[in-house]
Amino acid sequence: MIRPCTGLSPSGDERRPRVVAEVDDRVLVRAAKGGDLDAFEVLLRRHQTPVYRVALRMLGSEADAQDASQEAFVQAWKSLGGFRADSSFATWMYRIITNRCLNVIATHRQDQPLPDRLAALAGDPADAAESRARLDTLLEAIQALPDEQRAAIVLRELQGLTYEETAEVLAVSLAAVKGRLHRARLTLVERMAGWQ
Amino acid sequence: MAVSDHRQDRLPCGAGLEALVVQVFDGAAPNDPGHQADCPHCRAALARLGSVHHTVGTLAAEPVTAPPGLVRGVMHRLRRDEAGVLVSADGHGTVTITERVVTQVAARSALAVPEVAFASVQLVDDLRVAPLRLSARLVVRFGPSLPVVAEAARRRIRAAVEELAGVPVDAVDVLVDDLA
Repeated sequence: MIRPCTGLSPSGDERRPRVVAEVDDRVLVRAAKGGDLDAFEVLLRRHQTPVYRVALRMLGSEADAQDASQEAFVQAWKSLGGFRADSSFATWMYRIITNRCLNVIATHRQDQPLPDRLAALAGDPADAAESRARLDTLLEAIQALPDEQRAAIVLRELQGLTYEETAEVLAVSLAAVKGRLHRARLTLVERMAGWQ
Repeated sequence: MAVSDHRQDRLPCGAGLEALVVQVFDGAAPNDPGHQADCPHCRAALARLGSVHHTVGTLAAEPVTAPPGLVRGVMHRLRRDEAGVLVSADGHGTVTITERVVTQVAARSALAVPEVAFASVQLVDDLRVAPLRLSARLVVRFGPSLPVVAEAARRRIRAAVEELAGVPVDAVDVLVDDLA
């Protein structure tokens, strides 16, 4: 979906006149491949939230997710020459951030505490606390999944990608994705047993 | 518990566990609704799967926004090394402008053409070698003659760059890349 977007200058001034509301991602990618950093910045602003969200769910740490997202975008700029038009920019970024997060997971353990993002839950404080604890248990269970299952669950269940899109991002077969998801889902059910 | 051991693929009643998971997580139709309605094993498993699926949905719906400064940080890294052109040098000092400024001026001048919705301009050759050759990629609003719009953009780009940089422009190649 093309959203209205105004290109921003490095200082964050939103009054820059280069309006790109009517410009498809593909045009911006072609411009960026030609060296246009401003076009690339527009792509970043369009895709920063889903990229960061995947990183946050994969790594469980806001600081690590921000680092991974920034490195993924720098990598994307350097790798633009290899980007093929048969894939969308969004799918390509999902692949980059997922692989980067898997590398981070493989190289060091995440021991930062899970940030409390559930303060907005309305209702009775006791209910809110219980809901927070339930979600935190789920997050911990996702963090404890084997890397490949964690990636599949984050992309499919939390990011809303289809089975086919998930398979494309992970560069595996549809059957492999379904197998990983099945094992991951059942593991989550086990880990959430205390919340039934 | 019915789903306590995910290495088993069937519940004690014989119902397939994978089918139940797909039923809950993907909204698939039940294989045997009549059996499920009366079977305590299936009902317990569906309840547990449903509970987790609901929690997953709550987590998926939780708003997440990228931290402020994420994009700015990336762009700062990417823009650290930029080529520049010396515009003037005298006893008072030097004036240098970067390639990005040149291409920004060119792009903004093209946007001054009402039919141009988007413009991306790059230098074809080394910025330091005059005269410059530029390449402009345009998105044009549907309707007017495309060659006329392209020529108008070319004229504006040439005039703006020559006035700003004081460097002659050899040519401006225009590509109409898309229609808005």
